[in-house]
Amino acid sequence: MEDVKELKSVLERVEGKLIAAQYMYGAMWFIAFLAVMALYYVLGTIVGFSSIFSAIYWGGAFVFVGWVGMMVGKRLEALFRSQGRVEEGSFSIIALPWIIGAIIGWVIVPRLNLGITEEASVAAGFLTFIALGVFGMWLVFIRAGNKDRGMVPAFLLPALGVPLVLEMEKGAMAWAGFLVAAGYALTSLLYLYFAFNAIER
Amino acid sequence: MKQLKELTSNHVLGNPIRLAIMLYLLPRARVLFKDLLEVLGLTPGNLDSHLRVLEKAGYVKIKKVFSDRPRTAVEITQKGAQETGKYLRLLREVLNGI
Repeated sequence: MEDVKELKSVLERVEGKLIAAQYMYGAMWFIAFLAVMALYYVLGTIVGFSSIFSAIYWGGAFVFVGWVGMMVGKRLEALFRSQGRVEEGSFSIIALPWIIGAIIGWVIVPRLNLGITEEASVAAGFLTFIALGVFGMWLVFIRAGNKDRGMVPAFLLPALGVPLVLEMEKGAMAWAGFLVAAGYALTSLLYLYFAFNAIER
Repeated sequence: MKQLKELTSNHVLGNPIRLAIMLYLLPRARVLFKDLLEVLGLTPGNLDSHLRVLEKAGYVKIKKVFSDRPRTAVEITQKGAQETGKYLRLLREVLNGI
C-alpha cells in the first residue's frame, strides 16, 4: 500500500507541475505584450500618439505578439490535451477577437470622435482593442475547459477605463497605458501565484 | 479490470524510460537530445532507440536545430501530449481502484 500511496503522490506532483507550466506560459505571453507596449509608449512620446502611428505600430506588433502567442498556444494546447480538455484546432480562433478588436479599436472608435480630444479618442480605441482581444482570448480558454480567473484583470481594467479616458483633456494615452499595464501585470502576478500554488500542493 | 488491461497493453508508454521521456517533454515541448541524455542518465544508443519507438508511434518529432552548433532536438506532438495524459489518467484510475 505504501508503494501505491507514493505512486499517487508522484502523479499528483506531475499534475501540479503541468498546471504550473500552463500558468507560466500564460504569464510569458502577457509579459511579452507588456514589453511591446512599453516600446509603443517610448516611440509614441517621440512621434506623437496619432491614430496612423498607432495603426502602423500595432500592425507590426501584432505580428510579433502573434508569433509569441503561437509558440505559447502550441505549448498550452499540448498541456490542455494531456488533461483531455481541448479539441483539435480550439486555439486557432484566438486571432479572431484580436482582429475584431483591432478593427473596432483602431479604426472605428477613433473615427467616431467620442473623446473630447483626438488623444482621448485614440486612447479609448486602444483600451477597446485590448479589452476585446483579451476578452475573446478568455472565452476561447473557457471553451477549452479552462476556468481562467487570472485573465480577468487583463480585460476588465482596460474595459472599465474606456469611459474615463474619453473625458480626459490631457494624458489620456498615459492613463490608458497605465490601465493596460496594471491589468497585464496583475494577470501575470496571478498566473505566477497560481503556478507556485500548483507546484506546492 | 478493464483499465489495468488497457494500461498493460500500451507498449509505447508502458516502458518507464519512454514514460519518463514523455513526462519530461510535456511541460517543455522541445528538449535537446543532449539534455535528455543528462537528465535520464542513458547512453546515446539507448536513448536513441527509445526515441525511435516514440517517433514511430507519432508521439515525438526528432529535428535538427541550431543552438551553439547543430543539435538534435526532440519535440512532443499533440498526439503524444494527448496519449501521455490519457495514460496518466488511466494510471490514476487503476491506483484509485486498489
